[in-house]
Amino acid sequence: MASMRDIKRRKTSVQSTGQITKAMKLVSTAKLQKAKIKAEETRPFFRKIYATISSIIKTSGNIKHPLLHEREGNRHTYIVITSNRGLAGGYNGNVCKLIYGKEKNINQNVIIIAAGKKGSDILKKKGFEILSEHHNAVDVPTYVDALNIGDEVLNLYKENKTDKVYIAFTGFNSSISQEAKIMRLLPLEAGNFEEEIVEEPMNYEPDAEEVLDQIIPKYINSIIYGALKESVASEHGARMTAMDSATNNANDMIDKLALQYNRARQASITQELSEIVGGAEALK
Amino acid sequence: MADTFKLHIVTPDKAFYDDDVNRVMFKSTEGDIAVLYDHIPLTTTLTSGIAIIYKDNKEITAVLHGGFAEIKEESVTILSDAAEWPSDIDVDRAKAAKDRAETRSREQEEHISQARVNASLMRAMARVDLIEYHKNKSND
Repeated sequence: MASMRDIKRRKTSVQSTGQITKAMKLVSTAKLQKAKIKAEETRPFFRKIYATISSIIKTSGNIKHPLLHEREGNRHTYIVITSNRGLAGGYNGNVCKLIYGKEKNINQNVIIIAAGKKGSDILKKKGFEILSEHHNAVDVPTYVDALNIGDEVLNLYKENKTDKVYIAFTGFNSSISQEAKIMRLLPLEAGNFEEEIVEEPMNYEPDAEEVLDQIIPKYINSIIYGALKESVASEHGARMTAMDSATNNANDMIDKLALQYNRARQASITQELSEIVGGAEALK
Repeated sequence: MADTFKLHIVTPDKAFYDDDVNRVMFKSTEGDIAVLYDHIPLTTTLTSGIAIIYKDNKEITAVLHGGFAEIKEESVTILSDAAEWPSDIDVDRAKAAKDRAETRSREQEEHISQARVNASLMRAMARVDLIEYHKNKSND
């Protein structure tokens, strides 16, 4: 049986770990509240863009646009949004799992654009090629960050260096439920837009194709922006849950150690007593 | 009371403006455009420029940077990459940015893309225009 001093030392160490995880949980809770509001603010913009693209595609019939055209090849680009810091449970792992679930063979055809150090580290270890890193984007996402990533993938696509662009991020369902998702960005899936109901004919200036030319990049950017914001909210949510269970585990351990400590104390008292009694007996 | 329509100005970060207005003027890529109630449905792209909103005989001004506008009979929705009220603009910074962008576009530095330089020049010019507009107003 471990000595009293050992048990005490362990208990103190678990206690201080518990304090840290509890503090981290509180910090994440506060950050989550802010990130959640910010994630919701991006939705009206996205919805409107979505509706406009839908109505252009719907009303102008068979529109030909390079960004809508499916390509044959299988060179894939992934934008991977993870966090810069760990201790967030399965948050980073789940996103990366989606990538190597999809790409069984690691080869030159797969390009990774990483936002978040953790995801970039995990994928590097697996042998993926990281083309560029945008780690600042996941601290406090700004529209400029989304714009930079968006420009990069649009250029890759236009220069015919990739055939499909995906974005892997963590969707924010609620504070306790986040879901790693993968979504296709390019080429746009025209089929996605068909549910929208268009109520009136619309004129376009300069013309429908020109407008579409302007709007599609904005649509891409707004998806990236939304994904960044949702991922940040999810990161804090995931960290909050992870730290909550860590704190609970620490408390359980402290209870167990307290019991062990008391037992050891009791045992040592009993032993001392019996030694004294034994000694007194011997003197008789 | 003239007819009013709903004007929404949305940026990626927030709903910038949302109210009933009498008239709105903004700068499209094809030129300045003014919208009154019952305009024909039109979707057009925007460039950096001043937007003037008329509401109850009052003028409200702002700068819009890029984006597009969807005009319907009873509502106008402007989606802009960024929007600023006059109070958000730092006069000296805007002028400095304009000078910087002008030198850059003259010198044609290679590592900076022309499109970016032009865009930043447009933005700075729109900001300075708005400030000038307010100056002229107060002199009248």
